[in-house]
This record gives sequence, structure tokens and C-alpha cells, in this order.
Amino acid sequence: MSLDAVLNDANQTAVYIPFEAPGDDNEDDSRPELSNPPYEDRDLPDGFNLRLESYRAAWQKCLVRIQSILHALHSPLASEIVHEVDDAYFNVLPDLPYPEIPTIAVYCPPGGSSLLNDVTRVLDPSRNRRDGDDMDVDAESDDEHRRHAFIGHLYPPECSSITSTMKSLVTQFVDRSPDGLDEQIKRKPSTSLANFDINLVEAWWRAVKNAHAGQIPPQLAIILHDFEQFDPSIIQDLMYILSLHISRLPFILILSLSSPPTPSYLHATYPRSTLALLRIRNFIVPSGPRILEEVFLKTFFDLEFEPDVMIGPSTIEHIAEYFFRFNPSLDAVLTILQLTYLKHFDEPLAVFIHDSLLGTPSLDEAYTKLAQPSSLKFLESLLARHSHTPPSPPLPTPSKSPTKSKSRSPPLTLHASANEWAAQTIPSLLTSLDSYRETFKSRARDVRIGFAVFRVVRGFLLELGYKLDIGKGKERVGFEFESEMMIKALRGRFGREGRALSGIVQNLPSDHLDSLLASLSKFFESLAPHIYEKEKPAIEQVAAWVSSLSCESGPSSAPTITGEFSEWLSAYLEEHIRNLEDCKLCDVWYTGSTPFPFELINPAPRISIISALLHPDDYLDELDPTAASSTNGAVNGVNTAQNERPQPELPDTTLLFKRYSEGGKMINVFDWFESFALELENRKEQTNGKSKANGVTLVEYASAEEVQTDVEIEEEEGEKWRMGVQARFIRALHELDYLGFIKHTNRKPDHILKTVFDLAG
Amino acid sequence: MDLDEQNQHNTIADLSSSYPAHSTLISHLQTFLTTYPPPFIYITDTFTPRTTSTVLKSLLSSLHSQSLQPHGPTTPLPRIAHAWVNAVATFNSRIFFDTVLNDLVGWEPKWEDGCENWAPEGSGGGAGGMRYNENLDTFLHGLRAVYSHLEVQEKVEEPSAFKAKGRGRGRGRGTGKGKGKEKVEETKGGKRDVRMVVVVEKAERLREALPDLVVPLTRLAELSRTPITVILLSSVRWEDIKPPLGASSEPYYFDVPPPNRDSTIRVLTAHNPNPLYSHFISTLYSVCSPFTTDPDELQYIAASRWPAFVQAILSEFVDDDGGQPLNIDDIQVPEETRIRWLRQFTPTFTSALDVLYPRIKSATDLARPSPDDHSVDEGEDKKSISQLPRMQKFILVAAFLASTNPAKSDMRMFARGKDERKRRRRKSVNATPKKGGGAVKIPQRLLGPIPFPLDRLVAILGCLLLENDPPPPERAADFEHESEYTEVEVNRVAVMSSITSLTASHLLQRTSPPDRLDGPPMYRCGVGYEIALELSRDVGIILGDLLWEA
Repeated sequence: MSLDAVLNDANQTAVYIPFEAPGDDNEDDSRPELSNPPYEDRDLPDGFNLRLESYRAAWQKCLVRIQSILHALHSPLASEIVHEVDDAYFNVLPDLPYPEIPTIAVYCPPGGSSLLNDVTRVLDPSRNRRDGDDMDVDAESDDEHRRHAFIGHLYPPECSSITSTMKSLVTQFVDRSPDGLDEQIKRKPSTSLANFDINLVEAWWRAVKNAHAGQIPPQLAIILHDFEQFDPSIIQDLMYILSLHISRLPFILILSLSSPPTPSYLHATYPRSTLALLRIRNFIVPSGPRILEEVFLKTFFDLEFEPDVMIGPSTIEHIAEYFFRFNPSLDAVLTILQLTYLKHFDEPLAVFIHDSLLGTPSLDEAYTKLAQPSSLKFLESLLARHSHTPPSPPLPTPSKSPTKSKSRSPPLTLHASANEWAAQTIPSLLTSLDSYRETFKSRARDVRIGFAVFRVVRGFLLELGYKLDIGKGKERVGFEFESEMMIKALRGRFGREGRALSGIVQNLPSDHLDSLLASLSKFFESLAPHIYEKEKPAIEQVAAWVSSLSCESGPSSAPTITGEFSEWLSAYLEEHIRNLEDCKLCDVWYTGSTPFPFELINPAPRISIISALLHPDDYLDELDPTAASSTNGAVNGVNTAQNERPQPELPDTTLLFKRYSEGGKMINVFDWFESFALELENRKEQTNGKSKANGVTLVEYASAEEVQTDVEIEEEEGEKWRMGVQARFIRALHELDYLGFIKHTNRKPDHILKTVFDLAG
Repeated sequence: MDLDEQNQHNTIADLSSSYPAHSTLISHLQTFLTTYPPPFIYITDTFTPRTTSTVLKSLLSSLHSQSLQPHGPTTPLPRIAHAWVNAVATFNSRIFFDTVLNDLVGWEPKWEDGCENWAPEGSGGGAGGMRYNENLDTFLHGLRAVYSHLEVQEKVEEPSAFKAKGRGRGRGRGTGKGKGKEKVEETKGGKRDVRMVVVVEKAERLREALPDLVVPLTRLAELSRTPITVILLSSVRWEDIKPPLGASSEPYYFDVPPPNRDSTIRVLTAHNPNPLYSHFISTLYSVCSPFTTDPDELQYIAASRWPAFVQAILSEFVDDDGGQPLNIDDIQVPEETRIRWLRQFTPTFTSALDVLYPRIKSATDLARPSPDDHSVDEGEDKKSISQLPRMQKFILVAAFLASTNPAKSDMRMFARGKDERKRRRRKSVNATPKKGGGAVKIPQRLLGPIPFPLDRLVAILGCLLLENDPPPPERAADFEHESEYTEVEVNRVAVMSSITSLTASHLLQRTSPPDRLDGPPMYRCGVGYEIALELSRDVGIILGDLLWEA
């Protein structure tokens, strides 16, 4: 066999042994298929692919939005960094003892940031044009006024020694043609300067300067990515070498740090002699809750942007928790959002998210498709959900769905008259789906407008120093508070907040009221036309108050207006902010209160392993019985499936682990083996139905004299059995060792140390 | 005395007067190099290596240009060619060889020619010539080629009148490169000495970077059979980097004395003759000299404060002159004004030293604080550390405790009995020495963090979470006991990835190599007491109660 050949080959350093389940002759047939999409039974035949396409479109829309928000947030800082690079060699402080290397330390929190990409794009447009990446319009427009820079990138993996670091750096620069033409001058590697010699850069730089005669030559920026991961001794040498040439070569270092600015990694790690070579300026990338708040408000609560899938309160809750507790990076938030989207499209009905065409070009064809027998289950579930009146469970199954309004079409009777039924109802069903979509969108828009109005009024009152008694936390700002408000708004439980606002508004003095109304009307003015039309009554109402206040400006009219306005505000918020789950078929567009699969993002593997070892039945029962016993491995010769399993046959590892959990701090391996063998012996006897005495100890079993007294066949079998037991023990022991439950000690022979104690049974 | 020679002497005399601490070195070296230098000189300068290297560079270039000057037939100076290498930059022998050979002949590789190294004309010019950078042997050949090139250059590069008459000794070699040597004098008898000098700065690094080259360098003259002098310039003594077994020859030693007050002030004031500046520098020196006497550092501080000082003085004159900006060199500053302002500026010198010496800020930022100053200020400090996620704060506090408390105290500090609260016993720390005169035990906090295994960190984290981080009610319902929830919580993937991300940002330091699989990984806390206190306050832990030695 080829595997044997590979195993016997002394030259192989690593061998891959593919998993082969015992008795698995039929290749893949017997393996359980894990990739089956859920709810397959009530899905369209090509539903999975259709939904995948819809998911791609929906997620892409959301992702592009978030990225553009981040880009907008980062662009001021990016332009500051670019400005700093431009000015690095202008206006240098005179009389310094020696020239310093301008260094820009960019503190971007873990999770990465596209900021440096933006900087690179602006500074080095020629390189980007070559890459076909011309997204940035600013870079093109500012070309005339800006010094360009040649940018070299250094990454920790390629900087394992000073030679490789210098080689990477030097080649990145000298690979570019000094005059912008793509002609490369051939160098003889042996008789010319080495490609890790910085003098080569100097020679190249002289050529660059000649090519740029009469203009300002570009600067040489070096971006050190993941700066903390570099070997400090190499970077010290690098900086020293750069500083030797700094008077001739305009280097600029850009360090990308993920550690917080204090305690400063640079100052803690690098000696003063190295720091003295640098002129460090710090730039801190905006991060944290403020950015997340911005992203959420502008993606899911923005009046100009409508996400295809609206996320529900439980997702927001989880994101907030994960963000504050574990990982404050936007990448993690994006992952959670993406997972939420993916999970949302598990639901077969989510195929209707964008339109009711079901992947066909026209409605007629969609009707036909839905009328096909293969779509029957899907149709059933659709009808069930259609006839179901909200509030609905988040993901109802067809069997549970009650049929109140349309009692004439219970799902089970559908089979009989499917064709007839389809001809009459499917078209109307699909058209009604369109109207549901519109309704949901408009309701979602209402919630957003209501929320925006709430924020305008609240922001105004906070600015004036009013205390609002809403929310759990002490802070009335920040993402923690905002997320709480978002959750309440989505659940439609905004009564208390509305009342709190209107209560304060009621007692507002007239000048404050005036400016509040002014800011509200300003907000309404900024609305997009289609929303403006819809909100016309409210806008007119506010405008009327504003004009009446300004006309009369008498103290008499102010209290009445305040009262009216406060009532109006309360009613307005109540009318707009309603639970989105009340909409029909809302779970097509809304993730609602579907719990987020938190364990996927943040599992506890060790606990799961321990609990699996302690209670293997819970895990194995879910699998095929044959597959369950296969965990025993190939050496397990008696793993025949038992139809009646009063005492389920436990895997060897579990058996060993049970003894482990009962043991003390240290375990004698021989005793462990004995008890394991005894257990197996007992089990064997039970299986064979032999009427041997129950209390056979291993000493009896293992002693050679007694075995010899038996007949020869038994002796042979016993020997074989004993070998088998030993092999199984060693295998199970190694499995536990591999899982990290065993610590070897040299203190006591034949003993191992436990690593897990107090295991709850 | 010849005029040029006089100029030269003036330059070197200027150099000596600008750097009084180095005057002996300058005069010795000048004498040596112009006469018969020893083949190996070792200069030790522990205090101001950068200044010494500047001095040496100026000396060598003056000697070099002096040797190129035409002079009278009575005082033929040897031609001095020198190469300057830095042992940090020449981390590879090839760079070392290339740099030395190119420098000695004054060859500048050109990009257009493919950055060819120098090669004698006869061997095909720059292209296709001998390869001198391969190993030591080829390098020695290279040195000989350089030497004969320099000799030939002397003979061929004569005034054009002589050339036209064919008085040059044509030995069949091609014309030299003659870069930048416009004037070459005719020597009597056609022979003129050539001295080659190779200076290696930061020579202590040679031992790590090019260990095989140290012995040959000390014997370069005898190996190459050329008049070459090797000068090693280092901040450590030769004994510390000398190769074993006595293979290297003994150098001629030079020790540069530490700079005294006068010499430092003279170095600092060399570039600015304004008398006000010398007063400024002398005040600065008296304020800062208890902490540092490094001329570079003092000049750095001076550079950051001088503009503000000038501005302050000028502000008094601006008013009188009707708002015209003035140059400080144009005005006569009264003594009273000078003293008053110097007194006002004295405290700022100390504060500038505090900030600039550890490079917390750069001199530029200190001199010109801009309104949109991005350097880290106090508020930003606190913000950045308090923006850590809650779990990372817990981990850092746990790491601080694990790094400060001895492992054997954990049971007493963290174990919780069946009843409400355990009794914590803390060793009283009284600094009274024992009667027997035993050493006072220094608290671990002052000794630095001790490394701890991951298991211990997770266990302490579990205790902290159990007492200070109650589970959310909806999740606690799944568990019988609160400790089970915590047990699950501390073993979650997010906790482990938080530890990894803290390690990446060096707030935790991993002390065991990442490729070691046996045993738990070891860590050390990377934050100090103040930050740990801040973090523990954020998450509601009373840190003092949990410290073994408060």
C-alpha cells in the first residue's frame, strides 16, 4: 500500500494518515451528511442557491455601507497622516545634534484597520494604479499638490534577520524604476552592490533625484506592519542603519501598533539609544464604542439607507455584550453581523427577501414554479405562515402553525386539491407578499424616523443639561445606552422613554422650546423627498408651532404650544416606534428575537470535552449507533451495535476518564490499567453470558500461573485479549494525554498528575 | 610655511579647539597618519562615541583634502585615502568589503551602470572585473589593487602640460578614475606615499556580526602587504572584544577622556557664536549636568528650548521697535533681561529633561506645540487603557496578581471556604531588619513580575470573576451553582484569544517560546502597579485585599 510505503520511507518528515472509520467499506455512504441545510424538508428544490444569492446581495450591501462609514471616519486621520508624511522634512527644528528619522506611530486597535491602506493609496498612487486599484478619488484630485512617496512595506515574517529585513526593504525600493519608466537596469549580482546593501538605495536615490530634477523628489516611507511582532534587536539595527543615511535618504517610518498608547510599547521595549534616533509622532485611530455606535446608527437606523435584513434586538444585545466584554474590534462585530445574516438565510422563506420571483424572470413563472409538486412543502409552510396571524414565533415549524383565519386551507388537506388551490391562491399569495414587503419596509422606516426624532429631542435636552431618567446605566451617552435604546425601539417598548421626553418637554421654557422646534424642523427639512412626503403632517405641525411662536412671541401662547407639542411628541413616538415583529411574515426581512448562536463565536471547548467524556451518551446518541462505537477506534474488536443497550457501551477513553475523575491528585498508571481491564473483563463476561464469578480481579486475571491451568485455546485467547486490553488502554491514555488531562511527572515512577479536579458528575 | 599647509593646520587647530577633550587624539592621529602610522589603532570612548566619530571624520577628510593639495617639494605629504564603515551597518562581510574598497578609492556606484563596484581599469573597468567581495582573500587582492590604483593615479593624474609631453610613466595600466581629484601635484621621483586608513565604528558589534573578520582586520597591513591602518572605534575596551588565543596583534590604544564642563560647552556653542547662546548653554549645563553630560542630549534639550527663549527675549524688543520682528543676533541683550529670562527658563529645562531624555516627546513637539497635538496626553492615556474590554481588564488584574503574589499564597488569598468568606492572612510587611542583620525582603512589586503558567492565570481569573462578575440572570439559570458558570466562562475561546491579543500588544509577555508544546505556556505581567490599580477599580476589584504584600 502506498501508505505503508510512505510510512517506511525514512526520508519523510511528516506523514498524513487519513481517517478510516472501522468497517467503512462503502466510502462516504455511511457517513452522516453534516452539510445538509436545515429546514430542508420545506425548502424549494433550488432554494438553497437562491437564498445564497440573496444573502450575497444583502450582505454585500450592508458590508459596503459599513466600510464606507469606516472610511469616512478614518479619512480625517488618514489625511493628517499624509500631511505629516508630506511635511516630515519641512520646517525641521534647527540646531538638533543630528537629524532624526521622522516616525509616525499609528495606534490602531486590534482587529485591523483599513486606515494604512488609505494612507498608502493616497501617498503612492502610482503603485496602486499599477495594481488596478483606483478607488480613491481624493488621491487623484490632490495629485498636483502633493509630494508622492515611495512606500516600502515590512512584515514581521519576512524580517527574521537583519539581512532579510534589509533585503526586503532595499529590493522594494530599487525594484521601482527611478524615472517612472518600466525599464530595469541589469545588475551583475556578484560585482555590483549587494541587494541588501543600503548603499544600493542611495545609488538608486541619486538616480531618482536626477529623474525628478526641478521637482520635489518623493519621500521614502516604510510601513512596519504589526510592529509588536518584530524582533526588537533587528528593528534596533534597522533604525540605526537608516539613521546613518538619513541625511541623504528621506526615510519616514510608519509604525502600525496594536497596543494601547500607554503603557507605550515603544518606550517599554526599545532602548533610549534607539528612541533617540527617532522623532515620534503618535496618531490614535478612533475606535471603541463611539465607532460602533456610529456604524449601527448609520447602517440600521439611518434614514437614507435601508438594509435588506434588519437585525433584531437579540443580535444587538449580543454584539454589545461581546464588544464590551471580549473583543472591542469591528472585525468581530462584522463577523457576528455576517453570521446573523447567514443564519437568517437558513429560513426557506427568506428567498422572498428582495422580490417574489423565486429566481425566475417573471411572476408567472414564479407561480408555475411554486405550483410544482416539488415545491409543495415550501408552499405549505408559506401558506401556514401567511395564514398565521402575528405575533408569530420567530421560526415556526409547519406542524405547529395554527390556522385561524383561513380554516379552509389546513396544510394537510392541501395535498388533495393542490392543483386547484394553486391556480386560485398562489398568484394572490405572491402579490400579497409584495405588499407585506412594502409594509415591513415602511414600518421599519417609521421606527427609524421615530428613533431619529427621539435622538434629536434627547440630544437637544442633554445639551441643555436636562436629566433624563431613562436607561439602565448611569451614562446617558455611549453605545451601551444607545444599544439599549435601539433594542427598546425595535421591541416597540418605547412608552417610558417617550413619556420621559414629553414630561420634560412639557416644562420647557419658551426660548428652549423655540430652539427645540427649530432643530426639529431643521431635521425634518433634511429628510429625503419620499420620507418628507410621508411625514408632511408632522412637518407642517412643527412648522405651524414655530411660526406661531415667532409671530406672537408672547408668553401666553408658549405654555399651550408646549403642552400640545409634548402630547404630539409622545403620540408621534408611540405611533412610529412599534414592534416590528407585528408585521406579517416579518421574519423574512427581520432577524427579530431569534437567539444568536453565541456558542459558535465563543465556545468553551474544554468544558465541552469534559462533559462529553463524562456523559458520552448525550453526544453519541445523536450520531449513528455504529458511528458512536467507532470512537473506540479500530482496536475495539467488540464494538458490535447493541440494539438493546441497557448499559451503553462506553468508549474506552470515557471509561478511563471515569476512573480519572475518581482518583486523587496523582494516579498510579498500573492501578488505573488494572481497574480498566477489570471493567472490560466484566463487560466481556456480561456480553458472553458466561457464569464466571463476578469479582475477578486483574491480579487473578493477569497472573500467568492461573491462565496456564486453563485449556490451551483459552490461554491463547486470553493472551490475545490481554494484548488487546493493553493496546486499548494505551490508546485511551494517549487520547487523554493529547486532550491535556495528563501531566507527566518524574517525581514518582508509574504515576501521572491530574490536570482537572473537582469534576461535577 | 606654505599657505595651504597653514590653512590645513588652521583647520586642524580649529578642530582641536572646537573639541578640547579630543585635542590629544587629534594631534596624535595627525602625526601618525602623516608619518608612519601603526597598523592597528584602537580608540575607546565610553562617554561620547558619536562626538569622537564626528571628530575623526573631520580629521580624516581634512587630511585627505590636505594630501590632495599641491604643496612645495620640501614637504611631501603622503596621500591619505580612508574608508569609514559602521559595524552595525556592515552586518555582512560582503557589504564590509564593498564599502571599504569603494570608499578607499572614492568610488560612487552609479545606478545607470548597474551599481558596479570599483574595479581597476585594467581588469575591464567597472564591468566584468575581478570580484573582490567574495571572501577575505579576494578582499586582500582588492586592497592591493586599490593601493596600486592610488599609486598610479598619483602618477597619471598630473597637470595636463606634463601629460601632453608624455612624462607620465605609462606602465600599461589604464587611466584611473580620478573622481573629484582635480589637482594632483607632481612628485619628485614619481614616488609618493599612499596611506590607507580603515575606520570601523561601533567595533564592538564586529564580534557578533563578523566574528571571522576581527583577527584579519587587526593584521590587515601584514596580510595585504600595503600601508594600511585599521582604526577600531568603540565604546567598550579591546579586552572585552579581543578574540581568544592571541591571534590578533596588539593595538595602539587611545582612550578618550570624559568631557568636562568647558569642553562640552565649547562643543555645544560651536555652531552658534551668539554670546547669549553661550550663556543659555552654560545655564542649561548647570541645570542638567547632574543627570546627563552627553553633549548630544544637552544639545537636544537646548534645541527645544532655545526658540522659546529667543521668542521671549524678542518679545521685549518687539514692542519698542513698533512690532518689527527682529533677529536675535542683531540686538544687544542687556544683562538684566538675560538673567531674568534665564531664571524664568530654568524650571523648564528640568521639565524638558524629564520629557525629552526618555523621549516621551520629541524636541520638535516640545518646541512647537500645535493645537492639534497628537502626542499622548494624560487624558488619552487613561482612556486608552480603560477602553480595554472587561474581560481583558480582569485578565490583566489576574496577571498582575499572579506576577506579584507568590504561588504558594494563592490558596490563602483566593480559596473560598464553604462558609461565606475565607480568612485572608496577609504577611505584615514591616521593613524592620531582623536582628541577625539579615537582608530586608524587598517586595515583589519592586523586584519585577515573576513568570506564571497559564493555568494559574486562568485559576486566579476564575476566582476574580466569581467574586466580581455575577452572571447575567438569564444564563445563570442554566447552572446549578455560580462557580460552574464561571468555570465555563474562563475556559471560553474568547478568554484565550483575549490572552493572545494582550500578548500581542505586550501587556502580557509570553516568557516560554511559542513553539514549545510541553507544559503550559508561561507569561509575565506587562503592566505596573498603577495601571493594575486603575483596571481593578474599573471592574470593581479591591486590589489591595488581594495582594500578598500590600
